[in-house]
Amino acid sequence: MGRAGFDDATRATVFRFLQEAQGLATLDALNAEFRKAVGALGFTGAVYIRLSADGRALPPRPVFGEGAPEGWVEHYFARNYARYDTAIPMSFQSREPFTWSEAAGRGMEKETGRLFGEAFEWWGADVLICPVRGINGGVSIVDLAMQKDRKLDEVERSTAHALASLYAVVGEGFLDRPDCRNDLEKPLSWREAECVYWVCLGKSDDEIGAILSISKKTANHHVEAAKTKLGVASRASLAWRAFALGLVQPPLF
Amino acid sequence: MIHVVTHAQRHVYAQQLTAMHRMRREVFVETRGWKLQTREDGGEYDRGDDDKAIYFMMLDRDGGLQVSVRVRPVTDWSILLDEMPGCVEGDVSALRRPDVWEMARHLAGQQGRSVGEAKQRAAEFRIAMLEAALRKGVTQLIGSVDVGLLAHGIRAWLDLKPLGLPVVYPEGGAAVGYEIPVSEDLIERLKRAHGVTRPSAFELEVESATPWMTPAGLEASFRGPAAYSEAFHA
Repeated sequence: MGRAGFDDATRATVFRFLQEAQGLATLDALNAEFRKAVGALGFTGAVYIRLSADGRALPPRPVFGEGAPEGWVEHYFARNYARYDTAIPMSFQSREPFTWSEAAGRGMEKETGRLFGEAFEWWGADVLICPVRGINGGVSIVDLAMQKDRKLDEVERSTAHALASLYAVVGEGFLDRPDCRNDLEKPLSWREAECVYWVCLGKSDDEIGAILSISKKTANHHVEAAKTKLGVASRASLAWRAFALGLVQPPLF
Repeated sequence: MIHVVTHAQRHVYAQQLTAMHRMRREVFVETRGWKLQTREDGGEYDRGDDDKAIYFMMLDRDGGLQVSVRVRPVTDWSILLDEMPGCVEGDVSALRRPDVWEMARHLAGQQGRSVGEAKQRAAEFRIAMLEAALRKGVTQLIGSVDVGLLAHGIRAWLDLKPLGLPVVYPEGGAAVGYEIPVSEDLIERLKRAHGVTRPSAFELEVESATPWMTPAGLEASFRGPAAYSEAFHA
């Protein structure tokens, strides 16, 4: 059988994550150790996205991890790209990892071509998508950014997939813990919660202001306050942290 | 009910074992394309199907095979340690101990009428294996799993941990070696998680069995006198 052709340092880093991931105490520690492990394989970013749960399709927003360029998620939803994203059905159909380049090749519609063209431009990278099957039939993916035009062999793909599987399972465990739900030190105000809801729908501060009849500056103030209270740095993370805490119900496509 | 079939009970479960080997051929040889040995009876067999092998079987009400897996001590031979050593990081010989069993050739057919029932029965199957293993002094189960099923394996077994980096099959796909520490604590956590309150494994004491005790009869006797009478007279 084909054993991984990695150097000793890479093997040690990867194996350490495989052995120790389930014992990590926080999501931040998991993110840090996973970045080290996939970094040893040459990947530059990692994001976990939940596509379905409990029989329902979910909007493909990042739940944890880092690497998505600032503004990309909002742009993706503003253009309604989920409808043309061939990576989504491929994630449901395939148990094996695949790249954006491979997904782009499957698209027949011009919007699919536009989506992937913009994705490559925004990210400056290709992405290896690792599907992860849930115990109740749910599907998640872990996106690993890598150098564009990089060709991965079977060993690299399967090793990345194993790491991603562990990352997904352990990360989900942190999100599903009772102490991660609803016990905010400072709960969101009613107005902050409203603003978070519209952030989940991909609205800008300008648009939220127009919807709620407040100024853009006030909307931004509420969004920033919510980010602080939920302990996140980006709007994408805000949306999914709010979802994970049960503060908002996610809209469908 | 999960039936534990050691060498002593083989003759009682002969029909189910033959069906199991044939199903192994269908799944692993014909569907997955693995280069494995088959026999004239249409079944797939390997070196691990010997006197030391113990089979766990879930049967339907008619005694038909639904789920099966083989476990076997690894002291003299194992698939993971001898055929796939690349799946284990570090010293493979550290696992060559009498308290380590290997799980292999897992077949999961129809387990219930709904997803919920299938999930419950799969959990009972795992708990039964762990209980039987613990009774026999086993502290560790090892095996290999497709990388694509690693997440499912961790969620299902709770304490499953990779033993090394993945290794690519010549036929395509990749596998990860794993270990599951066997403990009372793990069994209790699984029972709590799935609402299992009574032992799930049944190991027939052959000396007390009458010659006409079939697996279908055993299943029915477990459900009660009326069911047993119905099965026996059917």
